Amino acid sequence: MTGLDRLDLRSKITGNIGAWIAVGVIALVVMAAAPAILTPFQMRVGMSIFFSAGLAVAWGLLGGYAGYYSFGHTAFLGIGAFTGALLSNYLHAVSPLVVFGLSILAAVAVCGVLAALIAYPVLRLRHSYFAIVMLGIAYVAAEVINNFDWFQGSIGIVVPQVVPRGMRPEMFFYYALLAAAAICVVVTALLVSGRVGYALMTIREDEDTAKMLGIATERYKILAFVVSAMLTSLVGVVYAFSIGFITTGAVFRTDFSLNMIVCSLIGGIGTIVGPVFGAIILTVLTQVVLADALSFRLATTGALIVIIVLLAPSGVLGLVRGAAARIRQ
Amino acid sequence: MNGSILTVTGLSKSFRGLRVINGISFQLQPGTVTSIIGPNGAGKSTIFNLITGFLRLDAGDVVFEGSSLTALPTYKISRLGIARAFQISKPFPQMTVFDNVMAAALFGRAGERDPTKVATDAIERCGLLAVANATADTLTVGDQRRLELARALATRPRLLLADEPCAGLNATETKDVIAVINTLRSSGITVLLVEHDMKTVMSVSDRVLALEAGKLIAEGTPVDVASDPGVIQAYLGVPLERSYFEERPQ
Repeated sequence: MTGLDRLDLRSKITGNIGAWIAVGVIALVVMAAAPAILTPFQMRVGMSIFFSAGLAVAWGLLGGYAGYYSFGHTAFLGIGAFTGALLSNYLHAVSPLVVFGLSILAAVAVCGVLAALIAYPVLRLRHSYFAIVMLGIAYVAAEVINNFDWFQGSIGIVVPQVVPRGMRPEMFFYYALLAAAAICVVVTALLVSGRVGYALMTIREDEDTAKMLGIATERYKILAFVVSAMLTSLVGVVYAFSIGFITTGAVFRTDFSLNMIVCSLIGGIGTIVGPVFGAIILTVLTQVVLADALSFRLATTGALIVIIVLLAPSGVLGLVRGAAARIRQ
Repeated sequence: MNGSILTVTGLSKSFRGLRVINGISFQLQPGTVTSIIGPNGAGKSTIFNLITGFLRLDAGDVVFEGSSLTALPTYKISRLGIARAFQISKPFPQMTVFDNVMAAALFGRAGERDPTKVATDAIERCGLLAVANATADTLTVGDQRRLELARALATRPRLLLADEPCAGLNATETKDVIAVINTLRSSGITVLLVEHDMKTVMSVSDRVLALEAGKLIAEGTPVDVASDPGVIQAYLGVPLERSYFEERPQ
């Protein structure tokens, strides 16, 4: 027997895929069945969780896995929302669900193309330079949509109602946002569980060394950027339909970009489950625990960030993993 | 000389008017270990950066197995079969030793073979089995050096550029690294080594290149270069003692 036979050599990146798929399927079934017992308020909390989780997972593909922290991902949320809203107003003759589907496809496609166009120059920047350029792109996108009349960003657009007859709107958008978040999780998981995951993580750890291992870093960064933008726009367009009326200020919100990062930090950056945990914790804290103390929400979020960064830099997931490792020992 | 694996011709590089590499030419024969010696700032690491595409050369050519590398990006140079172990160890700190090496096996020239087997072979050859599941930031300096070599090996290189692989290591760790380099040579991998420790240079090298201020001032066998008056004056200071040559394996 050689040393290799005795040693359990296993990748931490691809090692637990089966277990996570099982957990994900169970969680999806539970959340799909939950509306039967949830109150309307609890369903709205659920929608907020799915919205935040979808965005955080989409952001995490680029920020958490590749280490490219975007401070302006709200650009893709907003562009996706406006693309869907504008298109849906031109599609009068087709059924509401088809309008919904076509709007989603158009929003995702538009954001994918735009992201592909800006990816190469933007991703030549690293660290804080990249983060700030993305912030600038979000502001530019918001200003363009706000100031060109055709986009109706300043006066706002009514987004057509697409909820099927006989179905409560909160029920429909609960499932729509759940589906959007699930797509974000599944697409990200599929991407990061193999070669792409290795490539993105090595880029995050040391991009120059990654090149020396034969990794075409530009290609993988662009892939992560474009997919992350498309997933963000998917959540954005569903959000636009769920609120029914959008303005520039309603979708190009800096706090949305901030929340994507905060959820990832709280849950555990560089993972898929972490941002989902983070979205649950942040949403429950700000919308349930502090439901009657609106003025404390931002202060609480800030305090939570400070505590997590100081005491648990790997997030809640890191704490759980640490505790599990100690128990095993 | 025919049959060389790497041919460097008239290599030149300047930074803002300061010429750091000045018309250097040399060839590497397959399956040999060649060391580059010289004082700090002589241009040793710059040559590695030029060969691997981290820097673009101003003049000259680098040909690896008949293909010019001068217009290729770094990742394509790696995939042709050139690996590099950096002067300062650059493990991916949050990834395990296994995942560090696996990344190299997935994307290097090894890509066409079973990457898991390639990675485990490299880990075993470099004596890292015991720490294979540890994250790289928990390794000792010696183990990080060996991880650097294991990762380079997992790309299945035909040429390994090792930049001061023994820097900062104690005597035992240095011997381990030398043993790995000798194993690589015996398995047919060509090694180009930058090293300051003359005992290491003398014990592993088939040929030695001596640089000073970006110029090649001597080239030949270790004994020839060590006794070259120009090398003694520019780098060694005094002739090497006899013991430096006696540790050389036969």
